[in-house]
Amino acid sequence: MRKSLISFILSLGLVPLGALAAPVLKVGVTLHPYYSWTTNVVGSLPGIEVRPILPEEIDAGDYQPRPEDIKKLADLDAIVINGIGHDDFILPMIKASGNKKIVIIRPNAETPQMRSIHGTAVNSHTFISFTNAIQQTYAIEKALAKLRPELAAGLQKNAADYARRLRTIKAQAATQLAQAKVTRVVTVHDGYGYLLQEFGLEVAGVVQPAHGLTPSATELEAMVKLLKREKIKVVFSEESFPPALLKVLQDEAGVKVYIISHIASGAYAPDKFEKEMQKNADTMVRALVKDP
Amino acid sequence: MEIKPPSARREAANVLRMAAVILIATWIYLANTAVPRAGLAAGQGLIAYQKLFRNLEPREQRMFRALREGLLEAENVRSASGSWPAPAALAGQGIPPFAADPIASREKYTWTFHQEGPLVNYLGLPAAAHLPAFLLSIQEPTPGATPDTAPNDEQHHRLANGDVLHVAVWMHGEGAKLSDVLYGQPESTGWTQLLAGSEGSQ
Repeated sequence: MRKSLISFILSLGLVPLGALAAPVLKVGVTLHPYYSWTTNVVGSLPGIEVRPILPEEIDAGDYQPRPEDIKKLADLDAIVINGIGHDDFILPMIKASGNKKIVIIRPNAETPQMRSIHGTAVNSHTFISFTNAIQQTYAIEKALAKLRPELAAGLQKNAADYARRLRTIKAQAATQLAQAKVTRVVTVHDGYGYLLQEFGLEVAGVVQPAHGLTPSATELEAMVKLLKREKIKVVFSEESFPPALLKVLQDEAGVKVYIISHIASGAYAPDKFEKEMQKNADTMVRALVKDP
Repeated sequence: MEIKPPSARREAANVLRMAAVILIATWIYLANTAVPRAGLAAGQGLIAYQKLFRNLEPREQRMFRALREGLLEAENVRSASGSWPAPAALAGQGIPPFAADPIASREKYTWTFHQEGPLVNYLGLPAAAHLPAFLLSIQEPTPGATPDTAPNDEQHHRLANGDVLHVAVWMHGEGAKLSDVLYGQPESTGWTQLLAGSEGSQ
């Protein structure tokens, strides 16, 4: 049965014979979105293994390298990394693993990068975005096709299918967000700039003074003043921001707080990015169209 | 041998001289460190007609991002079929910026396609006079030319058959005054080339 299935697939010309004979291409990823994008590019094509390096429950921002994770890097052929500040730990880990043949795939290499709200660094959260996800999915597809030319057509088709699905979610959200009654918001986390820009929304301020840092009482007071002065009514927060601090914003400035996922932890899954971005889109529609 | 008594005036002059030396040294240090950073942020190393993504207005950034996405999809069609898709075909698949954009419904653009030999243009002219025009320019390899060995980057895209395209996104501040024609050398007709200028490319 299995033999006849393989013969059938080969007869369709979808999988070249060489792909079945080649050794498995082992591709690591550092962040959850990269796992979703890479597994969707690979799809059911044979001979490519996608391997997350970080434990699923740990946000890359809180991660400390562990020996067992360095071992996962030792036999990789390639790895997809952020490379602009979200996974700075990975290059020393690769060096420690002794893997000198590994190909580094940098989907951010051609991604337009915004500045962080605070400071002069680029905003490394390029992955919380539909547009960037599509662009970076194609970047991963092209990098994998270079490593497995015999699978190029299949990889390209899978990437295009995935791009189409992401674009559908975005288009449906855009149709609703075109009616937004609120178009200026404050975010707790500086990671939502790319996503909000896609829907023509403006970030009036960011609560965290830097990525992962809790604001001081003075900074929180300044934010309350900004919210009142600018008449901002919606704050988008991340899941892990202290509720006590959010309560200050709610009580003092009368804002409503909504949670936007930055897809940083939880079980690795091919559909994780689509599901969480759909949820984010629904949250934005509720916050900016339905609730006001 | 005469030994001069200590002079308060000379001592004060020495202190002032040392203070001046410290001030000048500090100024030189700051000039050598702070100024280059500011220059990079503003796009040091760019040619006069180029501008970095990070220095664009949010509305322009949004269009730039959409154009980069549209370019990838157009390249996919070019790779598969050998010819470039018309803007209407891309719009029909919901591909930005060619598809109708409900978010920017007041900022309507008309997209046209032009091709002359190896030069390809996707030109977006605005309906409103205050909006800029946008242009996606693509140069295909000249037939018979030596294969381009440039590595893939923002301005060099390799098709599935190995052909290397030279691609660029352009913006023109006086969009409403422009003619709907092919722009072979956009820099000579007032266009500004927009660059992602991304970090993390190596």
